[in-house]
Amino acid sequence: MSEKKLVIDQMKLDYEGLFDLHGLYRMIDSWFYEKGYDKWELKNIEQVLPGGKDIEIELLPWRKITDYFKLIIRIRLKAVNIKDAEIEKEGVKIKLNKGYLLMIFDAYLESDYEHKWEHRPIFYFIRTLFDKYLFKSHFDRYEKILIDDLYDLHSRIQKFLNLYRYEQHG
Amino acid sequence: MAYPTYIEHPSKIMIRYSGLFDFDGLYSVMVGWLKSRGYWFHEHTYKHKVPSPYGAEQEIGWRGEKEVTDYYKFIVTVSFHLWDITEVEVEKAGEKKKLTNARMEIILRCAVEIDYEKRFAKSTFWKFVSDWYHKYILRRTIENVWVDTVYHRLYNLQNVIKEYLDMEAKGNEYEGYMGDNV
Repeated sequence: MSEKKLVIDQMKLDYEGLFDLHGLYRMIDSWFYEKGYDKWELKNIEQVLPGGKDIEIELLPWRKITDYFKLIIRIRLKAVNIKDAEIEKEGVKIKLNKGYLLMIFDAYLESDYEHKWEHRPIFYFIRTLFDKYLFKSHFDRYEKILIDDLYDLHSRIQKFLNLYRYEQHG
Repeated sequence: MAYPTYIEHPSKIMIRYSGLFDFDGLYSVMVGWLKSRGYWFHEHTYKHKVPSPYGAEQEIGWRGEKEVTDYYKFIVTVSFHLWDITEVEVEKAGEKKKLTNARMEIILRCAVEIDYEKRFAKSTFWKFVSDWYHKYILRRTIENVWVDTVYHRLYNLQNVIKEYLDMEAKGNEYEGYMGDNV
């Protein structure tokens, strides 16, 4: 088994009000594309209920930073009671969504993702020693990149949600 | 351990939708996507269970195969599972249409088959040579080029499904990332 170190555990962001869910999804997707992450949309669940739509998305994109280290970001998005809303901005009608949104972010640093150092117990032991004493600086550096990436994404999402604080029409 | 000739991408893609939708339309759009990209389409499973008071249950399994070169073959598998299926007649723009109300799960998976013509499976010697070649020379090309290509193209199919169901989280920024080969 490769080693997965939990770098950020359950960073939360919740929001209630008007927002553009489709735009938010596209923004997150394009951010991962720009940053060189490989896409993995593990789940995309949508339930149409009388009180509105319930949406659950789980994204698990990864980025192979070297042959040995891999950055993984996990996003769980839950949107509850999502209804369509129409607002007017500068005379133009815009379709948005209204409801409750919860996002949970986790970040992992995976080492030896190609499972090269686990065929024999001695390899496993050597890997542990190398990880602990020789690759410590590598771990620190990649953890920092991962934290920077996640905070950047988090702040972009915050900006995106703030962008749509308009007054509801009618 | 011998290098496998069937390499499945470890990541499966799942969509679940619950509500009213046009299942016949979705079915033909998905088959159309596979066929227009040159996949040989095969429906290997079709199960329809006796309806309960809540509705019927269906399981459908597809396999799409495409010979990309004479050495590599792309394989796409689609599994549908529907519960509580009921037919609903709705009127849209003066026209009556039958829609399906159900809970649906779609799982998409992809794989690459190498040496599908079994040219190197004829003797133990050639098996050994091809295994060595796959393991030490081609491994990165197989995993980072071929398997990744079919995997990223599979997101285009996922997006077709999401667009058809008019889901909120639709769109695919990776659309042209590995080409589409229509």
